[in-house]
Amino acid sequence: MSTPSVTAPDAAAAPRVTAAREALLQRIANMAGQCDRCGSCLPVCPLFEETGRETASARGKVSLVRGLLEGAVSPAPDLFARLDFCLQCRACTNACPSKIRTDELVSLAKGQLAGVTGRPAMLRAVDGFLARPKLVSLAGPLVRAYARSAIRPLAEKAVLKPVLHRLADVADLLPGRRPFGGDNGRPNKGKTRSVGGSDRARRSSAVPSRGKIRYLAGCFVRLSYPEVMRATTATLRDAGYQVVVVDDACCGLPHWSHGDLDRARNMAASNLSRLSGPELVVTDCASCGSALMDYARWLAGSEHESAAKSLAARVRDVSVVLASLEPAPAAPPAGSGSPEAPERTKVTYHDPCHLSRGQGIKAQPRQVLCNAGYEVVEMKGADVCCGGSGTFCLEYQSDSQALLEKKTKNILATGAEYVVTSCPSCLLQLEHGMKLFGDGKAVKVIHLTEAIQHSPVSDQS
Amino acid sequence: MNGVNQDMLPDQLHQALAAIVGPDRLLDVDNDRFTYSYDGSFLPLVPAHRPDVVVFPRDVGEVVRIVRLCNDHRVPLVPRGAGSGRTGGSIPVNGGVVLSLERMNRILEIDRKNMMALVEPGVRTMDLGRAVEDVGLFYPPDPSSWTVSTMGGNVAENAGGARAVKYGVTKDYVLGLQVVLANGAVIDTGGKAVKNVTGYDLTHLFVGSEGTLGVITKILVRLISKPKAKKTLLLMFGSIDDASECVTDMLSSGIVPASAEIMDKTSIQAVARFRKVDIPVEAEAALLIDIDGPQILLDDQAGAVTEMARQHQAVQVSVAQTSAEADELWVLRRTMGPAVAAIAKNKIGEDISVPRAALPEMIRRLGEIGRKHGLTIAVFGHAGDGNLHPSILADLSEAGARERVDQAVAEVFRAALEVGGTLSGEHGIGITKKPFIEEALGKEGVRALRAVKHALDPNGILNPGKIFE
Repeated sequence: MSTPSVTAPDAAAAPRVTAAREALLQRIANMAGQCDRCGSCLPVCPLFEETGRETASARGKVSLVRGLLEGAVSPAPDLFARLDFCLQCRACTNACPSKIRTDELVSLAKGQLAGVTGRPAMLRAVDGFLARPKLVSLAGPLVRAYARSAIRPLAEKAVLKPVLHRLADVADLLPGRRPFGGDNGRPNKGKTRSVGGSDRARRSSAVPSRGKIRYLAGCFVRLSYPEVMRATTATLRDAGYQVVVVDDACCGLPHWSHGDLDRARNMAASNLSRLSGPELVVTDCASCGSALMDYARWLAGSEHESAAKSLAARVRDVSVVLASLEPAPAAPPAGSGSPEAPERTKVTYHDPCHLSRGQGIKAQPRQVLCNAGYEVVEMKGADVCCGGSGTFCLEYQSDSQALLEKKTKNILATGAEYVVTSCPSCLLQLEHGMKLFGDGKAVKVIHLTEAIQHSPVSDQS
Repeated sequence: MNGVNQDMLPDQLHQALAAIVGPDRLLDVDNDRFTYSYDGSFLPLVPAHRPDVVVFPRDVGEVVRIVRLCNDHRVPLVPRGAGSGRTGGSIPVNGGVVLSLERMNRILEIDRKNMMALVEPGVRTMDLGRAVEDVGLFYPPDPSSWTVSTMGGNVAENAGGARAVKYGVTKDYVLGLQVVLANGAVIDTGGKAVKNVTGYDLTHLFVGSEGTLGVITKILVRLISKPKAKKTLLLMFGSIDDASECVTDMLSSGIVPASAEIMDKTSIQAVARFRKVDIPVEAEAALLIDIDGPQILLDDQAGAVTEMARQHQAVQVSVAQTSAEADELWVLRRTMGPAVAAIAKNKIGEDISVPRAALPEMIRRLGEIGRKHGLTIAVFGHAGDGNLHPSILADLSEAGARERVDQAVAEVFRAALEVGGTLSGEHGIGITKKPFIEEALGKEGVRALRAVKHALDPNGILNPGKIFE
């Protein structure tokens, strides 16, 4: 490999930084060098299918990065945009004979480029905001109060749309009214809280005590869906866990995927100490879960690597915890004999990329829904990205919505009453899809733990 | 450069093309063009052969106008499918226009009565396969790249695949083509009549022409009935000689598997880095065998294959119990090329084809060449039809590595020719095998190719720099 041509202007002044950059470049080169350009990633990439452009595909991005390192591609500002145009959905990794993690390669390369060309202002703003968990917690009620208020449609039409297009687009993506009533309380204050079993759990002597468990309530859930946070806490308590809520941390994935690598690593390292200990760490956000599991890759070669590995072994998506339990004694066997057994509520499950491919979990959420008494109807392409992907839906609105339209149609075709998922970014995007493409027969969008809390079985008890 | 003397400035070219396809189906930004400078071959990315413009026509009318424009102004024109070729066939070595046919991707007709399908060149091979299987028909050619490669690319390279041992290759299924010639004229060759000797067989002149004689815009292929049932067996052997002799003896004793794939230990281990593969310690090579046909005959055939394997000291015989297990075994084989590439800094993958009976001899010679030059040569391929993909693994940045690899490649080709074989079974000549074509075909043979090329593309605009100098 020829000498990398991309170096920051201040490289010579700081040998330690230079060494880190060299190591980063070497890692990028090793990853990109695994690509054989066979093209297996092309037909599975939602953005390649949508645009037909090689740069949208993993092969295109890996080759651009390789071209950059070998001096054939210059770090023009549009290069950052080409790499940034990625859902990081990992469909390519799944299809790749060498399992190249293009999502990671893109993050690393963006991190490298950021030192040369800088990063777009919007990404910097989002990352700065999310790096302050207290600010996120404070902003949540304000955002939601506005989003669900009666003046919102008026405000957007009259003020935002004509004056601030971009802001109106953002506002358009705010969560609307939720199926089971929305935000009727502020998330509890305090860094970590220890809570006992819920009333229902206490009522039922059959629920064994399962000990302490930690629940990481991520930024997105705290900002937009506190009701999901409550549902998850209640569900875990009902199952007999003593739940310690961790609501003062950001997993760092937005920063990592936007190429703000140093900040992401710092956040990961501080989360490692925050989440140390023997207990399981439960997430109800697919992206947080997959990020925690990836910390060892983020921190590879650092003093934190082994701690990161041990954390990864303790992280569980909430569906995995629930699926590993015996079905609740109150649950009647599915489709049980009595002739007047009511028809079960139909739901369909959307696989978040960071759960199905990020954590290899597809069966458990469906199993949990069946145990809760729902009839699960499969949609076409359940594990194809919905186009939400964090800030992607804001940065690349039309492409995001093209994917969303397909997804929404597939959901509607199932005839389900609810579409259930396990990721707040997906929740927001799917809700938006129902508004845009629902044709008035919108399917209600809920999180897995909300489905459990409002399951036909628990309502009967 | 190859007789092409472009008389149009990039700006003018861009404007003229935009007038044909519109601004949305044209790429001219530096970084976009870079991603159309490579294909699936081992040719280095740098120096990059960027095209001046990439265009995505949607119908034959647009193709005609683009070809005329290029011909009038002597602009090189490189037809491209998915860019998954292995010999550099779609790399625009002289710049010019890359004509991506990916958006001409409709299946125009599945004619069940005549058992034929008419498709545009951008249809992915697997999509055609799935569509015809839905109506109980079968399109057998199955190159390993079939999830991504296009029918146009398959025809232009005369792609093969694992099923060739029983069902033949792409050319055995192409009955007719619509082709845009270099002067912009549109011709239709062949047709739905199965017997057809009206004039020269132009259909088969264009099959395997690597985009150098015309642009294929429609393809008529023959289909057959879908085999009723299929069984997949994995046979492990203590030596690669045992495995290759087993295949040869199997075929000469009248057992015709649908596929018979050979793979050596290095290749299997490359795939095992990413997938669970159960390899007995004493195994040095494996055969992946598919048998197909009526259900009642499969057990007999499987028995015969197993017996043949025993006679060749197989150390393990396993039969896939479910179609999911069979699919998993095939994923192993299909991902082998790229997986082998990932274990070394550089993989120089070849595509020699030898008479079936010479297969064991060829494999022995590959071993000798590897030992002589101190290089690992991973061997896998379509043993049933004598088509092997020896892959030379090296780190070309090491001193002297390039020379050793070049010598080894030359010796591999020479050995293939000596045992009665040829340079390429299914990947074409493209750029990577150009230096050896005269050795394979002789001076007069190459002169004949050139005469055909000159007759159909006198200005040399179509995919210049490929097949021969």
